[in-house]
Amino acid sequence: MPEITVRRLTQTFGATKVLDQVDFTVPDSRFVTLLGPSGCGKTTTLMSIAGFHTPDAGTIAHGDRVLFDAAGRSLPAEQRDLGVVFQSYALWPHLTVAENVTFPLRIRKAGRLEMKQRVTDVLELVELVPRADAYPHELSGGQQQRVALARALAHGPSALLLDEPFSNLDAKLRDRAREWLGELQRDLGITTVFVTHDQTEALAMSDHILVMNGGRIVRAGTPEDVYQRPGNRFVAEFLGRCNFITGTARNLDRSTWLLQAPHLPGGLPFHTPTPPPPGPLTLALRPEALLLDTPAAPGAPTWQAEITHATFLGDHYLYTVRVGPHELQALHRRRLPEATVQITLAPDSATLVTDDPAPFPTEGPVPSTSQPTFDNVL
Amino acid sequence: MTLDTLPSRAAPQQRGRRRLAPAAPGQYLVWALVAVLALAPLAPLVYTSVLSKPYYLPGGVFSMDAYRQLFTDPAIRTAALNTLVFATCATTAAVVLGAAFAVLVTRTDLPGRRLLGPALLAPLLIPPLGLIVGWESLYGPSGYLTQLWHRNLHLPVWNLTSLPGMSALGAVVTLPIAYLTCKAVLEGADGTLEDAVRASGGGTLLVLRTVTVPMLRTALLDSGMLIFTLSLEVLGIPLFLGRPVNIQFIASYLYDSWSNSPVPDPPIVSAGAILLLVVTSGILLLRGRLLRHSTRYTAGTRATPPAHPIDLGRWRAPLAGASAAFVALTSAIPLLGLALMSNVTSLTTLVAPWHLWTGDNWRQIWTDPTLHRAITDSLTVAAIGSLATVVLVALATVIAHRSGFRLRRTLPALLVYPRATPGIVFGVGFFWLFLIADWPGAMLRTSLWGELVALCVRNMTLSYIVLAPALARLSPELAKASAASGAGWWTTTRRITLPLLRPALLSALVLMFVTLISDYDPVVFLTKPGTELMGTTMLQTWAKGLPGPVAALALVQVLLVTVALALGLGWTLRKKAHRHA
Repeated sequence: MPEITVRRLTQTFGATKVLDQVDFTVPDSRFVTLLGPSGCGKTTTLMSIAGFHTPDAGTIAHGDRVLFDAAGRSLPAEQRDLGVVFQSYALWPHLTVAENVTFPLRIRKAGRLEMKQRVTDVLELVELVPRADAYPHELSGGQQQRVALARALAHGPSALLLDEPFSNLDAKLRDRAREWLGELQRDLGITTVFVTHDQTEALAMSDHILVMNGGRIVRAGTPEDVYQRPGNRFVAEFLGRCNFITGTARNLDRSTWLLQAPHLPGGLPFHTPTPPPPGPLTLALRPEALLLDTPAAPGAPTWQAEITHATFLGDHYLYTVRVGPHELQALHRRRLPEATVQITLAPDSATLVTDDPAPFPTEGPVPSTSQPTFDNVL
Repeated sequence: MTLDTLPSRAAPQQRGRRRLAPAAPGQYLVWALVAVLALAPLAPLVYTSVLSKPYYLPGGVFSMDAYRQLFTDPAIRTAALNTLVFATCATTAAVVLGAAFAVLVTRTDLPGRRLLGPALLAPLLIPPLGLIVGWESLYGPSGYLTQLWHRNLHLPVWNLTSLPGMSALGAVVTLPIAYLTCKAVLEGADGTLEDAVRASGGGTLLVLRTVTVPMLRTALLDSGMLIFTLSLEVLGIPLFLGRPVNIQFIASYLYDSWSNSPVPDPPIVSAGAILLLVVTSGILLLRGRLLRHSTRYTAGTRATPPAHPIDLGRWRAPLAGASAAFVALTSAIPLLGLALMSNVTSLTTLVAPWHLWTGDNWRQIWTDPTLHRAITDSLTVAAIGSLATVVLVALATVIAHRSGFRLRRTLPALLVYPRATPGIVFGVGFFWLFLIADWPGAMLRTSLWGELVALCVRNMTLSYIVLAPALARLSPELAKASAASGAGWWTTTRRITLPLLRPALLSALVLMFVTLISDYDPVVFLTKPGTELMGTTMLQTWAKGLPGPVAALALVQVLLVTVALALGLGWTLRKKAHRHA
C-alpha cells in the first residue's frame, strides 16, 4: 500500500485561490482526513487525487507512480487504480448490486471464476451477500453506501478516496457506519483519504487530520493534537466550542508561562516550547477545561463566576458563566442550583492560538517549512 | 476469508495488460460527422446563388443577378407580404390560445383537463400534410362541412383558402409549441406565489392578473418568436390551400420557381433560400439574446403546484365544452374527414357518402408502383434513418455534455441549428451539395440515401432536444464512478451512460420515426422517379387533382405514426409495471 504524496497543489479561478500550495503526504495504510468548511478546497484536493480535477500546478504521486506533475502531465482517472466513494454513492441504477461490484473487474478482464470469488469476498466484507441481486433503489441508504464501498474495493485499489460518504445517512446510522468503516480500514490496512466537514467524524476516525481553510492546510496532526492544540482561532472554533481569553504573558520557568488577564486573578498557566511573541496573546480553553463546583488542583486559579444561562444537552449541561467582563462556556455533568459558582481550570488545558490562519508553533510535531506537511509530522 | 488478503489482488500486474482505447479519435469522428452533415449544405447554397446560370450549365460566372431578380420581382414582394400577415396572425392566435390552454390545464379545476393536455398535442403528431388534407376536405371551399353549413343550412360561410383561413390552420399546427412552453413554466413555478395572493385576499382574476399571466411573459416571447420563425417557412399550407386561389408564400414561391422555371433549378431559388435563412437566423439570434438572462427572473424555489386549483365556477362546463369542441374541430374531425375521403369517389353533400363508397383509392395505392413505392421507401427511410440519427446524436450528446473533448462546446449549436433553418433551405442546399460533391453525391443523388440524409440531418435536432435534458438529469458522478473503476470514456458511455438513457433513447427513436414518416419539405427538391417518399408523392398527386389517393396516403401516415407511438408507449408502460412489480 504505497503512500500518496501531494506537493504544492495550486489552483486559481480568477482572483480566488481554490488551492493554495496544498502540500501533504498520506503515509502507507493510514487514514487521513481533509476537514474544513464548504468551499475550503478539500473536495477539489480529493478530486485532484482521483483524477477528476486538474489543478494549475503541483504534483501528485502515489508510491512510485506520478499521477499528476508540474508539467501538466496527468494520468487519466481510469488509469489511476484508486477506489473512490462518491458523496451520492453514484451506484448505477440499471445494474444490480453484484453487477455494480463486478464492473471494475470486468473492465480489467478478470477471469470468470476469479470475478465471482472476488465479488463474493467483497460483498461478504460489507455484509451484503444476501442482497447481491437487488437493485440500488431497493436498498437502504446505509446499504447503498456499503455497496459503493464494495465497488470501490473490488479491484483491489492501492488507495481509497472517500468524499463525505456519511453525509446522506441519518445521525444514528452515521455513528454505526463510521465505526464499521474505521474497523474495515484498519483490518484492510488500505491507505485512505477521507473528506468531511463534520469535525466529530474527523476526530473519531482519522489517524491524521488536515484542517483546510481558504484553499490552504491550516493545521495538521493527530486528532488529539489538533483538538487540544489547535494553534489558531479558526481551527479551535471549527473543531468545537471554545473560549478565548486575551492577555499578556509572563514567564514562570523554562516552558511554563502565565497569561495575565483583567478580572482573572492568579492568571492562566500554559505551556509553550518557544517563547511567545511580545504583546497581547490569546489562549483557547475548551468548555470541558473549565471545572465548575470542583476542588481546585494545587496551583490552579479559582474564580467566582455567575451563571447567566444553562442549556440541557442530554448527557451534559452547557453553562454560560460570567467572570468580570468575560463570558465563558463550561460543561458540567449536573444541574447546579445556585447562581454563583467557583470555577477552576483543568491542569494543562489552556493553549495559545493566533488570530491569523498561520498556525502558532505548538509542542509536538512542528511543520518545519512555512507549509504544514505530514512528512515532518511523522 | 481473511480480510487482510483482500486488497492484495495485484492490480499493478493487471495494469500492464489493460489497454485503454484512446477516446479522442472516435470523438473527433462523431464531431466531424455532425459538423459536415449540418454545415455542408450551406456552402453550395451560397455558391450557386452568386452564379449567373444554374451550376450544371457551362459558362456560369459570378453574378448578383439572382438577388437582383429576387428583389425586383413583384411576385415575391406579394409572397413576402402574405407570409408576414400569415405568420403574424398564426403566431398571435397560437400564443394566446396555447397560453390559455396551459393555464386551464395546469391551474384550474376544468373537468377532463388530464385528457385535454395530451389531446392538445395531437397536431404535433398528426402528419402535417394529412391534417391539411383533412381540413381541406371538410372546411375547404367545397369541403363537406362547408357545403353542409352553407348550402343546406344557408348560413354565412368561412373561407379556408384565404389568409385568415390559412392562419387559423397555421395556428392550430403551431399551438402545441406555445402550450408546451407555457405549461413547462407553470409546472416548474412556485404555486405558493399564487396561494400568497389568495392569502392576501385576492380573488381568481387578481391571481391570474398579478401572478400567473406575468409569470408566462418569457414563455410567450420565447414560443412566439419560435412559432413566427416556423410560420415563415411553411410550405404545405400554401401549396395545398393557397395555390388554387393564387396566394403565394415565400416557400411556395421558391418551390414553384424551382418546378416551373424554363431552366430547371435556377439560381434565384438559392438566393431566396439564403434570404429566408438570414431572416429566420436573425429572429432566432434575437430570441437567444432576449432570453439570455431569463433564468435570472425565475424563482429558484422548488416547483410546487398551488394548494388549490382556480375554481372556474359556472364557467367550468362551458369552458370544458369549448375545449372539447376545439380539439374535435381541429384534430379529431379532420382525421375522420380524411378517413371518409379515402373511401369515397368524391366527398359531397349532394349524395350520401355510402353511395359513393369505393376501395379504388386503396387499390390504387396498392397497384400504382409510385404510390406503393412511396410507402415502402418512407418506411425504409424512417426505420434506418431514425436508428442512425439516434445513434449519432446520442454519441454527440454524450460527447457534448459528458466528456473532456476539445470541441465539445460546438456540438449543441451544430445539433440545434438544422431544425432552426427552414426545411426547403436545407433541401436546396443538399440538392446542390450532392450535385457539386460528385463523390458520394452522385450515389446519394440517384438513390434513396440522399433523401434519407437530408431528412435525418434536418431532424436530428429533435433527437437532441429529447436526449440532452435526460442526460442533464443523470448525475455526473455516475460516469465518474465508472472512470474511477477503470473504465475509459467509450466503455463508460457504452456500459453506463447510454444504458441509463434508455427511456430517452426510445422516445427519441419514436419521435424520429414519426417525424421521418411525415416530414417532406427538406426533400421536395431531392425527390425523383424511383425514390418517392409519401410526403412528396402526396404533394405531386394533389397537384394532379387526385385527392382520394392523397387522403389514403395521409391515412397510412397516420396509421404508421399511431403504431409507432403505441409501441413506444407500450414499452414504457410495461417497463414501468415491471419496475413496480
